[in-house]
Amino acid sequence: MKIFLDLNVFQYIPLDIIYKLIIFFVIIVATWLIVIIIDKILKQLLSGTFPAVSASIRRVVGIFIWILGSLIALSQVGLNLEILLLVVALAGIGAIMSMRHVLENLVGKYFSDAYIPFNRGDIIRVGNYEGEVIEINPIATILLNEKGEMISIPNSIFMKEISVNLSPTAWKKVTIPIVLSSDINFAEFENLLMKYMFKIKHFLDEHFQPIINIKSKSPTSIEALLIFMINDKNKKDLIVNQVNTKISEIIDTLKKKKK
Amino acid sequence: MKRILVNTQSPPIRFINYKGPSSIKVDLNFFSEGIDYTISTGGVVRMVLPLLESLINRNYFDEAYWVSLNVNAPELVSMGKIFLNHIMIPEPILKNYSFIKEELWKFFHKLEKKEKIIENIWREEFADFVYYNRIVAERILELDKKLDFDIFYIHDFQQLNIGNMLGSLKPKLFRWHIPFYEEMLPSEWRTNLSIYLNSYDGIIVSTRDYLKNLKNLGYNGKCFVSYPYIDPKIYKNPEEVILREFCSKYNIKKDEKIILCVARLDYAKNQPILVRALKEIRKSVDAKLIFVGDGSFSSSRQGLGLSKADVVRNTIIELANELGLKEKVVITGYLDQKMLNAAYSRADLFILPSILEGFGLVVVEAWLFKRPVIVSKSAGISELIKEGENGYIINPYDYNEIAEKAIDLLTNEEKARRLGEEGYKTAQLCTIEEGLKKEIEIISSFL
Repeated sequence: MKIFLDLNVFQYIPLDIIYKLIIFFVIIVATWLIVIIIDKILKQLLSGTFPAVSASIRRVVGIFIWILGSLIALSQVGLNLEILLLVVALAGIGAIMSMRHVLENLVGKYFSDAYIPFNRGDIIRVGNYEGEVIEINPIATILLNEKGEMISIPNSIFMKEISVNLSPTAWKKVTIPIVLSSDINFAEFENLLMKYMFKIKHFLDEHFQPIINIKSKSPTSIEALLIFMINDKNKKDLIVNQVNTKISEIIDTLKKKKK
Repeated sequence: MKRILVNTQSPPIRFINYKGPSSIKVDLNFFSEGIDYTISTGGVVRMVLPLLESLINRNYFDEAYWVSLNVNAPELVSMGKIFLNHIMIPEPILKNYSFIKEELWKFFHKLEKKEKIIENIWREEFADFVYYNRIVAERILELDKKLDFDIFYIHDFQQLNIGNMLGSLKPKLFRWHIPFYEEMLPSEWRTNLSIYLNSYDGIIVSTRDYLKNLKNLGYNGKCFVSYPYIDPKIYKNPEEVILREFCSKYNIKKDEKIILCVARLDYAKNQPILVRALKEIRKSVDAKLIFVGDGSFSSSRQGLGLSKADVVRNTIIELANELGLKEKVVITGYLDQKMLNAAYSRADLFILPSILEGFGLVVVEAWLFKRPVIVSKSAGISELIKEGENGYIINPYDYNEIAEKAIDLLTNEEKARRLGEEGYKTAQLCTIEEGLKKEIEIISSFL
């Protein structure tokens, strides 16, 4: 059986429709490419987070770009989008509502990271629950109580409830999260920061030498924690602020040096 | 493919006058031992090298990677299935690192006060010490990314915080080579030390006493005692011609009693006390004192360039002159294996007077020649000595006690022979076969 393609058929379709169809397909292909590129960027940026969280965020962003691309493409062929937009908006609100708790927890984790009032190993009390912190993940903080039970406290709770750190030296311990771009030489950064910490040793508890631990490493960034102990509770704010300022200064110096 | 990563501070190979580029990879087969390079004489290297060869030969691992500090050497060197990675750090940082390392070493050997160590770990130079450790940890992690090691085996106190820096979940084993006394650790340093020690899944120490101290400090992982070891095949009586050469070189007369001390020239080895003891011994016996040894990688000019050995050498010479013993005290410096064997073979008595000694393998060497030994109670190996059966234990600060026991052995041939024979039996606990068996057992328990 032979199939003949009669190209003359296009002469019966108006040129503006052919033009619109081409634009439609170009937008769809462009959307597809954008989804792939954004997904790769997100994958790198989120490589330090939990795989499940990273996958969820990437999926939501992908769907959002597809919807946006499809709407733009459909508008090119002259479809009325008002009802479609309404449906998408309602679906979006529904999605946000359904992920509300996850987002709250992520935000809670973000704020607790900025200044952590407790660490792994500390004994804390939140509401009616008390136990040793054995894990802090993006969604929840896990406590182990005296009975050996594991208690999962959603991170958002820490923004609403009062938490009490029962560890005797908790007020002394300071943990400062540090994020560096991976092009900065970490050993050099640590060297300069340690030298600074030794310079302010009269404010630090001599029973604990500052330690910098690398939390995670991705091709683009390094997440680390600076842990030290202070000896004067009244100067905690001052010390934390000064150390944070110094960290920024060191990062700037190393960036300039690299250039 | 199974791979092990080993990290020591001292490199297994020391290149002689290496002038080539540092950032290259070379095959050791193209270099000649003795002309282009020498195998390091340090105790740690002497244990690790045969261990790796043995682990590969017995198919526990296919390859071994060895990261160490090395100055004036190519960055990458292959020795069969052992691949050396040399770390180079800038000169000023190296100087500060060496300073802190020496201070820590002195502290663990009770040669430094508690207050001084607290001062040292809070000074700017300590940041450079941490920098060296971080560079090593980064190199190990970089290699691990490519090679996927099965275990990390880190050696010696100056590399302790590398375990914490690695952060990897893979098995991390640490060998503590020097003395470890919990009671001497200042409270200000205990938390950090405990964090560093607990970053390892297993720690190996040289004596039961050190193991007890490790647990007292709060180490929660697995700990093991494994005596350091040597290859007995190397320690053989020399040919007559070598023995004659040795005696002639150091002007040793036929009837002269020889007291031998083999140790690197270092404050902790306490060599000068033997010069004082010799003065007393010579009141009863015509004896000559021979010191064999030079500086270590960190204390020699070929290594990190410190002049500690020179200071000790000068102290011995000055004291001998002062006591009128100039002709009766000899410092040979480094001896090659044949001459070292001649020294043991000619010796009538071996003494190790260290103020503090991680273990003291030289005592095992003397035992392999069936020589009677007198050992400081501060040396780790003293836990293997049964007083009057296979040796004598002495207080390293009491030269009268040293002299008294030395005279006893130098004037009582039968007793000296019996102690030597018993010592030879004890030495079997520290042979390479025994040591490797134990280490392989420990390493394989983590695989």
